[in-house]
Amino acid sequence: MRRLFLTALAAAGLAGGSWLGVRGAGQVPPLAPLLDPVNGAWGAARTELPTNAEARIPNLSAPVDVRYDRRGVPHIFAATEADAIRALGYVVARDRLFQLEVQARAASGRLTEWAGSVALPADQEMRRLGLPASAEAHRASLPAGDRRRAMLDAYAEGVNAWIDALRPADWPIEYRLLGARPARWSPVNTMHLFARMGWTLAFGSSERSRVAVAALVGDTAAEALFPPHTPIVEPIQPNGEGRPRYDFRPIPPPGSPSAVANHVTAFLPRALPDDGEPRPSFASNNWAVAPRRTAAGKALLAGDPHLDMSLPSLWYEVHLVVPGTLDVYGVTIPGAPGIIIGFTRDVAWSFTNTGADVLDLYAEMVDDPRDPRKYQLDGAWMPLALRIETYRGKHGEELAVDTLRFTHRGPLSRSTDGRWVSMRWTVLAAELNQTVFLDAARATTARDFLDIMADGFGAPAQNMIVADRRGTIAIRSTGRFPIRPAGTNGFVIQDGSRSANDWQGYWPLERYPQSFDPPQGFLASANQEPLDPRRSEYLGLDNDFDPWRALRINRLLRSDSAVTPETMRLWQTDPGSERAEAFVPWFVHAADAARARGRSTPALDSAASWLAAWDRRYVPGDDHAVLFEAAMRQLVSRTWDELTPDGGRRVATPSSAVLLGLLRDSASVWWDDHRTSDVVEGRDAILAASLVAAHDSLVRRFGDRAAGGWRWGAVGATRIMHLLGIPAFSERGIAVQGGPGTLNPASTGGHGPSWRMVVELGDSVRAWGTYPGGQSGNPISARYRDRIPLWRQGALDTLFAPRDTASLAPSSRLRIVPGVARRP
Amino acid sequence: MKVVLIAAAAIVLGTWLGASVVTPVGAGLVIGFGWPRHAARRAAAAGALAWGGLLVVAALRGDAVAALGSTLGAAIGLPGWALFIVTILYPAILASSAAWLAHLVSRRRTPSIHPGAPARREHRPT
Repeated sequence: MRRLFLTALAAAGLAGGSWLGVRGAGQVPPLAPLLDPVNGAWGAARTELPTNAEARIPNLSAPVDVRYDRRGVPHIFAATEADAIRALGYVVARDRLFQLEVQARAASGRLTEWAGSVALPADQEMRRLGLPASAEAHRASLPAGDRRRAMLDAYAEGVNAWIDALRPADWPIEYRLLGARPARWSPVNTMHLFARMGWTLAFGSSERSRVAVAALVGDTAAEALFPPHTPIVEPIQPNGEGRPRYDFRPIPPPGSPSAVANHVTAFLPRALPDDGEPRPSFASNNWAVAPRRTAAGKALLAGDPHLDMSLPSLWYEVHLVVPGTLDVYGVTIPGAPGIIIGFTRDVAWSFTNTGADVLDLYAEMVDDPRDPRKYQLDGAWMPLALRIETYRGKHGEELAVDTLRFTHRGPLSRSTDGRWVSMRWTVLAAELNQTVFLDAARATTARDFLDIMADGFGAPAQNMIVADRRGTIAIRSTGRFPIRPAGTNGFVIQDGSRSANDWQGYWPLERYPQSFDPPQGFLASANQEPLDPRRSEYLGLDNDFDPWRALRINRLLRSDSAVTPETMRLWQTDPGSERAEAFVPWFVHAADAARARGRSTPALDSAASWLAAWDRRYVPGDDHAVLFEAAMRQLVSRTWDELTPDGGRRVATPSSAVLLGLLRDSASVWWDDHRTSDVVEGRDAILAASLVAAHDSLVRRFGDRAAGGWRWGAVGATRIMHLLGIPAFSERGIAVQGGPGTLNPASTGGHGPSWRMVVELGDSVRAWGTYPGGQSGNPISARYRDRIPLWRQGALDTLFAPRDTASLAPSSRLRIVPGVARRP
Repeated sequence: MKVVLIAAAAIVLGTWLGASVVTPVGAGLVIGFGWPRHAARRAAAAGALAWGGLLVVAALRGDAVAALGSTLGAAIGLPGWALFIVTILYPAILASSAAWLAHLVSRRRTPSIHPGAPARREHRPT
């Protein structure tokens, strides 16, 4: 009996072990490639770059010398631009291969091939928006011999040279966990990557907020709650006023629900998250100071794009040198053939998101609502372009099939009530030159740089700030801004049956928001409205233009006429909050008013005095900010209760700038909380109730404040998650200095300053920078997250950009020679 | 002991060549057929010694083996030491299972008292 049992056990061990080893089961990846000490995941334990290595890339015109400095930054010295791009593809793949592929898969809607049906919704969203189709069309439209095509091909040659020479032991560890193997890189992946960036940064749906609110409280109120222009004005293009202007307007009471709006809400695309404050936009800061306002008499520039923070980081730091042609240092995005943000010997630049409304929806009349093949335009039936999308699983099996339909405007999708709506979106237009960053890196003046970018960069629109060594500072919001038919704007759904409702082109360059060497001696953008509303037309909704960081940096810049690089660095993590400065006095006033009327309570007095004692700075040791944030959430919830359908979630949230304007009207009917039927609340009652409720909720959640549980460094800690969300590969609980609406909003979790850079331009260029992560994509490597401590402190590394190889003592050297890549 | 060392060396070589499943199984079969005395134990020891040895060599070479064990272990929900144990056990299980089954097959031809013990000679009446 025992022998029988042991025999069965042995058979099971052999069969099961072999099966699990080769195929895996369920969530368990194949064990043999995972556990194999030579060719499996243990290979990832080899984390250090070899002191000397040699590689081959086909089509290289001459050997390329790559020298890694002590920070793991590769300095690429190549004979031609194409060779530099080949080497760039190679070194990026060497450090970030998994990231390259996962980003391309996410952008092209092919995650199901790794993750199975769990990824189907994400893949369907990408494909149904037409992003992969657009990328493929753009790639196909590039003629043979075109420089853009050549650069995309060169980049792919570099990436594939690394993949082709890759031993299984060198596969990134994530492939082992997924049971996948690296796929070769296609040049179209670069197109996918840029399309994905467009989706990330310019998929704003102005239509949604306005229409959804109008369906509840009528058009007039909706227009006031979601104005086309921000009431707090300190635009990117200086208006000469030298201080912010407050253009608050009364907000009319809620009206009858708009029947039209109610009807069209069914047309709207997927709702964006809306959980209190307006969505945490992918905010960013950049500013530049003219020589006459700096201590050294040299132009200074600071860049600070706020994006999703991930491990590995979105950014990869690199230096490209082609003697006589190119000498550019900065950060690239894995998959992009060039430096996105950085500097040369002559210019430095950085971007913030413009937030313009570049997406419009059109209600279409189709021949057969169940299976449309034609749509009506100016009385004629036009054929729809069809595209079949097949989603495949891990083993190539078919998971789902979509039939995509396209009008001349863009993808057609079915609304929840069975009607059809098409979308026009600048991101889908073939107007982004993927090599524009390379071209711009050759610019020698600020104006050259901006003009090159304006010529080749279509979407997502960016506020591009630049400074040059001659002392010029300039900014231009660059991208394609649609010209809509007279009398229309971007937050209504147009009648798609009339071509007269189509866009009539794009803004000409002279209308772009821009400024060169303004009299004030500095320029700053922090996602505020680019143009003064009194002098401009519709560019997007107020909700997309967060004023607080812009107010702060402009205040700091005005106050200092001898700016240094160190000051610029400190400002990047300045903990001061204009938002708190604006709102705290109202809470304190409400408590004072309650006390004067004899309606105060010990809880209100305690909370108000605690808030009043706050210096309005979000530092890790502070224990007041958490009360303010909780009170703001309560205030938003209690004020905008009219926008919450019975039993549902709030359909949209007006901006905090609109809320601040409402505070000036103490008796507005918007203050009344409809959930309390026996009393009509006014402003001060709502403010006081919000403060008390916030205080009580914090005590329940974190205990008494004296116990230390209210520390901002703990409550407002940020996290940087691995691309697959694997906690062991992530960094959590990072206490940062800054909070919502401050120049460093990282505490809101998951997104924040992704690349901080300060550059001083003079006879020589000096630069400092860091990002939250590390150069390596290997979670085991010491270079995977080595920069996070520096980033958390707000400190910056000195960026070293040697002119030649003799100026750099490398920690590691890679020589790349022409030839066919092969396994060592 | 000699058998174990030879089998371990074979497993190392096979693993190096990319046959990380086949080699432990093959080594187990050879031991089971050729050296039936304590075949399963010998095969298990060879498998564990081979992969354990490879990990030791990697660590001595400077690879971040400990860091990988703890980080990857945590990623798949195991304590830091568990991945080492699983890595050592995996070829051991494959090899010992194969050895056991091989021995059973061979015993049908030369019956033994029990698997793992030396094959028993037929006792004939004298």
